[in-house]
Parts: sequence; structure tokens; C-alpha cells
Amino acid sequence: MQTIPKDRRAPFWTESRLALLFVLPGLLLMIGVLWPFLQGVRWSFSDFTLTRPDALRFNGGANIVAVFKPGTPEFAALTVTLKFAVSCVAIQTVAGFAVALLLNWPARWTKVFRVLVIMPMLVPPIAATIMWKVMLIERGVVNYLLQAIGFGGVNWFGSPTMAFWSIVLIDTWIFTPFVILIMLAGLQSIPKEIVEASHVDGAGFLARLARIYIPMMKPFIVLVALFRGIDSLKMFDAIWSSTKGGPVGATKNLHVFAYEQGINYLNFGRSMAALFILWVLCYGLSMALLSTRRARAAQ
Amino acid sequence: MHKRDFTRRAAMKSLLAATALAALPFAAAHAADFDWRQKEGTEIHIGFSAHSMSDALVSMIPEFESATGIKVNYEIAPENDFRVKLNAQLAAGDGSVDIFMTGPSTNWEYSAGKWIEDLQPYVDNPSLTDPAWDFADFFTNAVDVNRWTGEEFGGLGTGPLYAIPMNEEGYSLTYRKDVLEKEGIAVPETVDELIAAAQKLKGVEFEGKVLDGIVVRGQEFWPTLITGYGSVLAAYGATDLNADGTSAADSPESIEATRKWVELLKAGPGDIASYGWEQAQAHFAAGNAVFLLDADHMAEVFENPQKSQVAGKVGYALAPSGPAGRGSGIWLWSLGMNAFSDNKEGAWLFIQWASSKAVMARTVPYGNINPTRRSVAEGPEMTEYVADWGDYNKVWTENLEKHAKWRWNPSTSFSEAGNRWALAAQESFTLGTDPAETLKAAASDINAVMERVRAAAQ
Repeated sequence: MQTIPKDRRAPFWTESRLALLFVLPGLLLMIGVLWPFLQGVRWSFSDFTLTRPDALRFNGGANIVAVFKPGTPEFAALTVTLKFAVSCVAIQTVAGFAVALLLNWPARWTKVFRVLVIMPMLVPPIAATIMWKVMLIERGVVNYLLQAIGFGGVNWFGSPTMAFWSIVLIDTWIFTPFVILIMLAGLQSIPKEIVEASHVDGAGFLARLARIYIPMMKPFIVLVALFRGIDSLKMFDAIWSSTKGGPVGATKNLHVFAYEQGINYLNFGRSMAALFILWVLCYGLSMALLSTRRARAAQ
Repeated sequence: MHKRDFTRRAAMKSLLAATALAALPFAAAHAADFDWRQKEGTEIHIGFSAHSMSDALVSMIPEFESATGIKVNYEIAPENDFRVKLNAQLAAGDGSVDIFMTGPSTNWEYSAGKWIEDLQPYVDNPSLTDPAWDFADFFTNAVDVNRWTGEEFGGLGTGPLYAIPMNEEGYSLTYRKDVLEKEGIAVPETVDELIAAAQKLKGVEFEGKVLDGIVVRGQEFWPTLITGYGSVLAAYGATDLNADGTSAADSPESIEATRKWVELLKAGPGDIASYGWEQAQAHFAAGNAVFLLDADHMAEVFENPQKSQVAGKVGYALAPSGPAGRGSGIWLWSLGMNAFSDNKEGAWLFIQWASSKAVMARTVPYGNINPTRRSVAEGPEMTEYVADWGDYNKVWTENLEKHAKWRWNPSTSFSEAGNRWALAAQESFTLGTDPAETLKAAASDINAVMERVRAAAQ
């Protein structure tokens, strides 16, 4: 058989082979990320304690089922996770939108406030939590001021209900500036002509809000709901630095539960099960919200 | 970091350093039969948790290096981060940290994974241990708490020695002498007397401040269980396991003790359910409470005028007694050795050196109390350090000799079971549910945990 001369042979680096070469680093990275993730999923369907690694036993997802069974600590953590997410997103979106509307006013002082309002976001979450923790003790500054204006002191971190709302307060203080920034960008992208036209037509503020601002801000609201939603579902810093799960588990969300099970008890089976469900929640939320963008883009 | 500008301590330290430096050649000549330089040229790595003991040892490392020729690397991290990193290293079989700080319950986790080295063979080996080191000088209670046979829910106090204790913490009653004097109340001896005194004094006005009756840890974690709450449980004869091996969290003794504990919590600050040791200590140091039922060596903070507002006004007494007498828990910070270490003899030389009479005595002025050696406890450094603290020395030594014990059956699942029990106590206080109910639920959950551990151990 005659060998074909070099210049007549098909090149080794065909287009598809070249494409594969370029994709290879990304592919390796993806495998590098997927491998521990899949290991974690495997653990979440097993009984696995770190001190006895040979005793990893597949348990048919009993830990995952436990997350949805009322009465288990996992289920309590799931409820707390959802409560946190809903409360934080609702409060921060409304408050952020309101402040952004105020800052959108064409007055000179709003420029100063735009800078001031961002400051809480610049403080590291753990430092902010510790700061608030000191302020919210029974004999702390906040109770002192409340009592000075005639309200009684509040049992901020000592009662289960108030501990929950204290964490919501801390999270809101730190992250509402983020919402304000995005909403402000959104408000400033609304064409001035539409707003002026509404003034000419004699629309009141509420009408303008309902008919112009909110509909035109939808993509920004979705963005905020997405970011804040995912962040508050997996909130950890604020909780771990203050209550570590709070009195009687009132502030123990899935993330804190998983940390406790995994790092403190070395029970990675239960820990990964909680984290797997958390991942599903975050992924589900992002899919739901991003699909609304796709739907709008398709219009 | 602590600012040690307490001049008396600074003077003590430099005096001791000078004495030690002068003594080194003497020590070298005296212990000529024991070769401190046998591992010369090797290197060891130590993992420290942030603690006054670490500060003390770190400052003395250059002396160890010059005496033995062993190079020492170390790392200090806050307790939680230190534990997380150490767990990861040990689980991966990483021998890069040779020595680490450990305590009773962490010893059990490490030994179950075979991550920690049995030190008894090193102690018994005459070529590795200087007879002048004097193993018998340690308080027996302090050493035995570091022994475990490995049997789940049993075998504490015998078996391999997993760590050498460097300091001890017992739990006793700390009180404001000045407030009790002014209000004409005697130091409570029993739990009931303490409850009565604390409830009477809650809300009392003293020097322009409204005080809480008592402050303790109220968080739902196992440290609460082994400290103040543990002392009350012991006073009522509550134990952790029944004779048949099931959880005794819901025993009649435990239920009664928990009812008393809830009464004590009611005499404390409103947010006491969120208090760990840091908050309890800060609360008392700020002068906001009359009693504290927790670690005895917190006196180190209370008697320092730069750290507390109550220096010189504090009294010390044993934990209150109940129908079953007095009891106290115990916690020790000890030095353990990595089973995967490549330089075990060198590591043992360090542990031996750090826990020797001379070095342990010199860690006392840094705040490394209470010392686990009898000679150091009665020695001049300790006496000098606590000179102005009234009955402090008498109380903690009596506590360690007679009452301080580790009262919880060893198990790799201890922290989980302990947290569950502490949660029941917190629920009884926060939600007002009767302890009989909360403890019954806790006992059933703890039994489930023990089942799981027993099954996995087979």
C-alpha cells in the first residue's frame, strides 16, 4: 500500500478536533466541579460519617425524604429557609424600590444620599452582624433608644420570634442598598417622555406607579428577586455569627443545619441531603425567574 | 489579642524568663542522662487554637528550639476555624500538623477515626521521657479524662492516653461580694438557696445600675450542658445513661434539676437563651449580674481592672449542692499528637517540654490557668498570680480534687447528643414547656442517635 504524501493527506487538526481542543480546558474545569458535586449527591443518598468513611451505606434517600417529613429537624430547617427567603425578598424589594423612588428625585441632596445609602453594603456581613449583635443585646443601644422614646425594650435575640426578625433586620440593613442600586438604575432607564406625558395627562403618583414604573421595572424586579432570593435561601453569615440557629432552632435554616451536621457532627450524609435540597430550591428559583425573561424576550 | 500591660504580670514573666534562662545550662547538665537533642535537625508543626496557653507557648518556642535543635512551625486560629481545619487535615490523613490542642470530646472523635496517637508508650519510654518530668505530679482526674478505651458509651478514664492536659477548667459559683454584703444575703450553699437569692436580687438597684440575679450560658449547645447546667444536674444526681444504656435525659432527677435550672434562667437577663460563655462572661464583667455559675478561671478577666468593672469585688465558692451533693463538670485543653505525623518522637519532646513543671509554671502569668500539675497549682507563680483573688485558689483546687469530673459517657456522637439535651433545657425556658415533656422528646432523639452510632460501629 502506498502512503499518501503529506500535503495530500487530510489535516490532523480538522475543524471539529480543533473545536474540541479549545473546549477541553472548560470541559476539564466542568468535570473538576461536577466530580465533587456528584460525590456530594452520592453522599446525600447514603449514611456517611467522616470518622468511619468505610461505613458509607446507600440508604435509598432516607435523609432526603426526611427534609420533607414534618416533625424532623430538616423539615423545620426547610420551613425556616422558606420563611427567611420570602420575608427578606419581600421587605427588601419593597423598601429598596421605595428608597430608589425617593433617590430618583431630581434634587441636589439626592446625590449625597445615593452615596450614603450604599455604605451598609460595604461592611463585611460578619462585621455587620457582630455590630448589630452588640447593639441588640438586652442592655444595648437599640433598647436604650426605644425606652428613651417610650417603647419598652425588645428581647431581640432571646425570643424565637424576635431572633428571626433580628436576622431579617440585619440582612435587610446589609443588602437593601444592593436593591436600591439596581432599582435606581432601572428607574433612570425609564424614558423621561413617558413620565412627562403622564404628568400632562394628569396621572397621580399611584397611577404612575402602577401603570408606568412597575411594568417598566419588571426586568429589574425579576433581577432583584433572583439575586436576593437565592442569597436569602442560602443565608449563612448573618445567622452563624449571631444565633448559630437561634433559640430553639428558630433561625436554623437548611444551610446552618447542614453546616452543623457536617462540620460539627461529621455526619456528611445528612448534611449533603439538606444541601442538595437547598441547591434544588436555588436552581428552581433561578429557572423560574429566568424563564420570565425568556418569555418577555419572546414577545 | 490580649494586651498584657498588667505590670505585675510583666514583671513576673521577665523574672521567670531570666530564671529559666539561667537554669537552662543547669538543667542540661543536671539531666545529662536524658538526651533532649536526640531529634536534632528535625522539624515539627503545631496547630494552636486561640487561647492564652497558645500565646504563652508561642513566646517560649525559641527556647525549645535552642535546647533541642528541633525547628518548630506553628499556626494559631480562632477555635471554630482551628477545629474545622484540623478535622479536614486529620480526615485526609494529612501528617503535616504534628501536634494540636484537643480536649475530652474531640479526643473521642479523633480516636474513632484513628487519627490521634496513644501517648502512654511515650510516657513509659525512658529514652524518650525524662524521669524529672514526673508524670505522677499531674492531677489524676485531669489525666484520666484524656483516656478512652474506644468503647461507645463506656470506657472513660482507662485505656490509651490521648493527650497531655495543659490547663483545667472547673465550674463553680462566682458572686459579687459587695452586693451580697449590702443586701445582707449569705453566699448560697444549695441550689434552692441560689434560686432564692438570684430571684430576690433580680432587678435590685446597685450603684445606679439595675442588676440581673444571675448569668449563665443559655444556648442550646453541649457546652451549656457540661458547665453551669451540668453542675445543677450533678447536684440532683442526674446521669447521662441508664443502667440499660438508654438515655437518662428524662430521668426524674434530670427533670427536677432542669426545673430548677429554668428557675435560675428566669432570674437572669431576658435574652439569656442566646448567651454563650462570651456573653455570660462579658455580662458579669460589666457588673450586670450578681451571680455567675460557670468556668472558675473566668476570674482572670473579672480581676483585671482593664477588662472588667468588678475587679476586687468578686467572691468564689463551690457550685451549689443538691440532694446528691455537689458536682462540677470539667474541661481541659490538652496537647495531642497526630497519628499520621512523620516526627512523633520530636513531637513528643515538645509536648513533654510544654507540660514540664518549669514551662507550665511560666504559662500561668499569661493566663493559662488552671494548671494541671499539683506542684504548679501550689507553686509560687500560681499563688502570686491569684494573690488578690480571695478564695480563688482554694476553691478551684478543692473543686478539681473532689467534684470536677467528666460526667458524660464518651462517644463520637457526644456533641450531637449533648446539643439535643441542651436544646430541651432551652425549650423548657423559652417556650415554657414542662421539662418532663421536652426531656422525654430529647431522650428519644438521643436514643436514636446512639442506635445509629452503635449500628455504624459494628
